[in-house]
Amino acid sequence: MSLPKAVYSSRDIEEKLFTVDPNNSRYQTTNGKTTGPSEWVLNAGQVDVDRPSDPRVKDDVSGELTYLSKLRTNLTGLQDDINEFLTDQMELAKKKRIKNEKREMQEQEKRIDDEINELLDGGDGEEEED
Amino acid sequence: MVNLNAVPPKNGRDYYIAIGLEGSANKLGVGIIKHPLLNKHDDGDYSHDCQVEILSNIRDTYVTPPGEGFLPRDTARHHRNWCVRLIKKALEEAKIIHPTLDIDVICFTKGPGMGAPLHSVVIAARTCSLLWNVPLVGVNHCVGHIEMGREITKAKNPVVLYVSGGNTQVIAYSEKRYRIFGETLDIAIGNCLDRFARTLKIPNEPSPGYNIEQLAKQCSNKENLVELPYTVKGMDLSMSGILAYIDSLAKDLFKENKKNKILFDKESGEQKVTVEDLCYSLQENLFAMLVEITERAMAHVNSDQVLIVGGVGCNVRLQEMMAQMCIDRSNSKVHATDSRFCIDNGVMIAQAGLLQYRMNDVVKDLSETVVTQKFRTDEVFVDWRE
Amino acid sequence: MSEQLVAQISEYLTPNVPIQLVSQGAEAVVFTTNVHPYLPKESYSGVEDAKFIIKYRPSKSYRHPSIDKSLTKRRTLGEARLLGKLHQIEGLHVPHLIACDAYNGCLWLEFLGENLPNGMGFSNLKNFLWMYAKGGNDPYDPIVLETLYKVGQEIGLLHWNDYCHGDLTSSNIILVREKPGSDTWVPHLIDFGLGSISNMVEDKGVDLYVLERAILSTHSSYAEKYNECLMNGFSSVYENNGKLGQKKLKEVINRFQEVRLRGRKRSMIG
Repeated sequence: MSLPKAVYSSRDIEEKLFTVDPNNSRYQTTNGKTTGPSEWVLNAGQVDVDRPSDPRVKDDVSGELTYLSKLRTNLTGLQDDINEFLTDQMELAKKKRIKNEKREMQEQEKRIDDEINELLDGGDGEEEED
Repeated sequence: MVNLNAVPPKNGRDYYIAIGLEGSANKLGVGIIKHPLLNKHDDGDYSHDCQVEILSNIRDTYVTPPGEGFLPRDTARHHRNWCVRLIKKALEEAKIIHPTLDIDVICFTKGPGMGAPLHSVVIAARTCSLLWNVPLVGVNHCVGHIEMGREITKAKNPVVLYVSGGNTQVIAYSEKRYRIFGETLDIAIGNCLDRFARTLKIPNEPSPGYNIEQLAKQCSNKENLVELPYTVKGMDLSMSGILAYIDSLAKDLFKENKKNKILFDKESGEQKVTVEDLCYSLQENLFAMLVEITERAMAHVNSDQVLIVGGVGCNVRLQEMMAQMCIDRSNSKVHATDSRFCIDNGVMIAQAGLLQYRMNDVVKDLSETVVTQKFRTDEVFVDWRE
Repeated sequence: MSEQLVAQISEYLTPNVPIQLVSQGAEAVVFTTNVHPYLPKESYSGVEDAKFIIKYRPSKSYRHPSIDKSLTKRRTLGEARLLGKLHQIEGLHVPHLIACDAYNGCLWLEFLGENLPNGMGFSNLKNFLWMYAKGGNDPYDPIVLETLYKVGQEIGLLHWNDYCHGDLTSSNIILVREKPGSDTWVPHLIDFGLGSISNMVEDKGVDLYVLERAILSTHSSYAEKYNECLMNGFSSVYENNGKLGQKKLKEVINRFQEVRLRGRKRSMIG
């Protein structure tokens, strides 16, 4: 059975490949790290009745998961990888934006300071005409 | 002339079968319907009379604790984790064993609605399409409501009042479009009721609006209505001001703020208004506004039929008021459906989608299946009507 | 119209006021009568077929009585006040207010207009344009173009003074002859049931759009020229008000075009 994979590309990132390691427990469960209920509702007293169903074992003696169940466990891990990656990307973008905003704020403050200083110096801002 | 039989049913059958997937808000629905192949559909406007047979109509609602609304992320998770189970159940109930052979088309909600939940459901629709080799049709949620309402009530050309958690519109058909005559300028009526229910901390089950309706029925002081802003603006209306005002009243009531003269007697400090009274007044006020703009639209397009669709359309008091207006106006009747069809469901998506499919309007490439939060009712080209 | 409604009105007006139905809207019913509410009969009975308009807002049994009462009162009073204010604007033509009984939802108004020749119906703008569109007449007759220009002026005046009509269709514009027998028509704006004081460009843009649609749907073959005349008349009012007028005109026209593009309604999330 071939394993599922995913590719992400954007303006900044040419290609980012996500793959499945079938021996890692991350890819052997249907309960993902990032796909659970949000803390917000749990704190509000939500009882989680919307969990994904557990993977199913084949009817024979092999003890293996069914094809679709195996695929679901693989995808759960893959989804976690993607979600974590995207969250990081968002954090990066946010940091960048805050930095830019900070720089702009500083520039603006400096400009206003300069203007005030100029005025206090009796500078040549605006001449009154009569 | 409209020909609804242009695309023949699969495998030489004399009927069509469609499955509809809906998940634009907190309800996940899967429905399967059957249309018999009828001669009269060769030629003429009979889209309100398809003799639909409902093979299954399965729904599961994502419910949150009292005082909480539903967040996109958790709603999407609910849909994601229940979708397959619901589809299986729907197929079983409809006794469909080989979807590849037995289903003509898969219909999904393309919008409007909440992005994340819409997205969860469309992924299921795409997967089924590839798995079964069955074509896809994207449906406008509002058009789904309208077409289901027309089919159930057999109202040929009604003025439609569409009232739900996300929408408040008065719609009439004209020249191949469902045109919007009046609508909310801010929040939807269902949203207004839901948010007031949250302020009151009443349960979200079965639905916040239903619980407000029950409280309103218990109002024992119907003569003394609590006066609220009445905000009809021409053909449109706005509701955020009303909500803010009644919210503040409810908060004063809980805090026992005796300074509030509307709620407490000036001299004795005795409580004059109850939670039930507030619910009653809110309903009376909001529904009077809805009925008024509906009547305006009827006068405008010279129609004497009204069809109420959408979740709030289940409200018996709203139906009563609308019925009274219709009698006073032209001795006509109001058309409404019950909770099986009023509340979001998969069957309505299947109904509108199957009409589209029969007019040969199908998705040609998966890139056309991108869902959209904004999708106006009048953007849809309604080629199945005259 | 239901019998109950007729009974409601007749009971209020008493048998002394005979009425004839003119139109029934969603909110109000309009009648004509030959009885003045307070002038002695002698003062007008000499006038040949004296006529007055009664605009009646019937109570609506679907809504709670207290909502109904307060709405009826507020709206009737609002319309009466608006008419009073509009009447003071020089050059603007609206019907005279004769009497107002806000608690019973009743307005008495001056009767305007006449029946057009050859059974062409009542002299509102819609019928007037139809008359000239019919065989033998020139749809671009100078009288037509001049009248449309004057209609535009009326609307320009309304908007320039920060009022909006709210339901500007060609049947809500009544034409009155300047003098009996004259071929010069003076347009009057009627039905301010949805009217308001508003300085919002959006409301003005919608007003113009609604009128444009009305002309387009009922007189489509000549609509382009007709709408051009209307807009020329409209603009002339603003242009007579100097730089400020020019600036405001630009704002209104821009919004009008925007409204036209999106078809009146804003886009919204579902």
